[in-house]
Amino acid sequence: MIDTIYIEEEIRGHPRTRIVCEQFSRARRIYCSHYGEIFNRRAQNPRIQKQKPALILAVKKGEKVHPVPAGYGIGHVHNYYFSHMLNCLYDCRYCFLQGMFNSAHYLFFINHEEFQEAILALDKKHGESCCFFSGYDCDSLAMDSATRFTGSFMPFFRERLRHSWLELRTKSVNVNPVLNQDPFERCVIAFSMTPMEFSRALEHGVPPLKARLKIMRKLQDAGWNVGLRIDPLLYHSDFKIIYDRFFRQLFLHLDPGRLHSVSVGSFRVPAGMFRKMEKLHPDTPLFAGPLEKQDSMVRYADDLERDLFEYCESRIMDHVPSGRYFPCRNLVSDQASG
Amino acid sequence: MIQFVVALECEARPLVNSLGLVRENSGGTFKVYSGNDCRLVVSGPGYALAAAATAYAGSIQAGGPFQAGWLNIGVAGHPVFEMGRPILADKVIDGISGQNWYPQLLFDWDGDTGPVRTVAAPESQFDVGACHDMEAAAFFTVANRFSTIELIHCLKIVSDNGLTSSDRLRPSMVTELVTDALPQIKLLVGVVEQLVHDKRGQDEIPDLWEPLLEKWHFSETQGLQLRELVRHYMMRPGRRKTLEELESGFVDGGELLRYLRELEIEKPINPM
Repeated sequence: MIDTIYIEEEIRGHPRTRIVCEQFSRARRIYCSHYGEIFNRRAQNPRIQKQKPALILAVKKGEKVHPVPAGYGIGHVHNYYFSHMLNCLYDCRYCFLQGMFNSAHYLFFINHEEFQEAILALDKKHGESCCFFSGYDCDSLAMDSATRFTGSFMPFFRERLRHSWLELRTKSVNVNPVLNQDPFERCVIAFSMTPMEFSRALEHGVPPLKARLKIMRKLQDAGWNVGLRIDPLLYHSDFKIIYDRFFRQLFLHLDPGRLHSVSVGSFRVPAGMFRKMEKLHPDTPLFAGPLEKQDSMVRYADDLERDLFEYCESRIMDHVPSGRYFPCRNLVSDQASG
Repeated sequence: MIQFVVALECEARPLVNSLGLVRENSGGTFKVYSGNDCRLVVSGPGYALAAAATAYAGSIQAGGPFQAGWLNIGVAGHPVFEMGRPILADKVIDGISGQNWYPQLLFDWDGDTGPVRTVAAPESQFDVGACHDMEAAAFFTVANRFSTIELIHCLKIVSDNGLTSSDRLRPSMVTELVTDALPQIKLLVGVVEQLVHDKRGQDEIPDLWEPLLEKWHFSETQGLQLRELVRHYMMRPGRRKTLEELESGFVDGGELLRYLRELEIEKPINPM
């Protein structure tokens, strides 16, 4: 429930502002000249704000679409991400978003059309396989009833682009806005997953794993491309037992033959963000685990990460053809060996 | 701890009485009252005095910065609202510097909320929809140096409006207006106390390593390492040694540090 909506003066009368305000008709509305007055200010406490986050409606200025770091992707030549929203409804302890912004409020950029112009320009420029990822800085679907993001971007990708794919990354079970549309080839609904034990302890507010699996199956049955994002992999002394059980559960509920893609990512957070995350939640055992700083990133020690990664990879490959598997692995020793 | 900054003695009086505060000997800089984990500083009217009094309160705050809630309570003009109506600020506009502050309303509040514009001198012409005062923006500017924005709030009680003039306002009337608003003020104190408590829960990593630091000599770096290692150690479910055993089970600090370091490598802490 949103109690407070901050609105940039210049979009006071924007149709999308009106829609959001109608959605939260009882929320107090406070006008500001720029979202940074609230969102970027220092001496804020995101953990306290997370008790009752406000919604900020703003215009995204400057670059709207960014290249994805090397090593990320699901098989396309050109990869970009864009964020119509910053911050997430959920509260996952391992998520870099906790250390990224000074504020926990949801910042929603309403100028969808300008994002779409930027995407269109890149689609034309490349003229070949491009993928645009949504859900790096927010959950793509969790607040769709307010943002109407899917209603705006899915028809755009389906009707106006020729070469480009859209990935919506989510942990939400709010998929009706997707199911209400016709499926199309160039769209992947990708679900981030961690084993139930980790999810219960670390993913606050996230729907139970079983509910997400049910929804994924529903999407598959409706003809949508569904992706699995096992990210981040987390180390536990019983990781083999935990991940074995997890993969058995996943591939029992989902049809692996119809999975569009499976990607796996290591736990890795820039050191500065990690410090902020740890400061916000100093009692979280995850941050006291076998992590080390390597090249300004905090991650598991190479040997632990290798054991974890290779074990999970072998379990996945039992079910998924190699062409649909996309590891995102970033060992320092691998980088050194080129 | 709640720090009150209040412009006038007649505004402070109901708070002092109701919260059971007693006068401190503050050496004559500002009138200060304290008690029951609260401190109230009477700043005097206007921007500069409010800034100075807030800085003074911050400078004598026990327990270091970021450990208190901050409240600015007082009367203000409003174009239309009736006298006596309490307004919790949701935006504070600095009419002098042009800067805006956005108090974070992270709690349920059934009363009125609205903007407060801080001006240099009393005005009879009001901006539509805003309370007018002479202190709130100065208070915010300084208090945010001593606390996170979530713990800083401002509640104004309408003392004059388009139909009445502030010239006719007497101290006894101001005291009466603040007295009538005490239920809302106490509600606000309650929610801010809760936020302070929540924040303290985040910040407080018990000083478990301090007895160990006192028992043995550690270099500055070793002291920092000890702090982290003990913090990690205490997160271990079913840890083998109590803190007392850590104190008594090693010949020196070096041996303790080695034990804790080796434990981290041999038995990494699980994420849950």
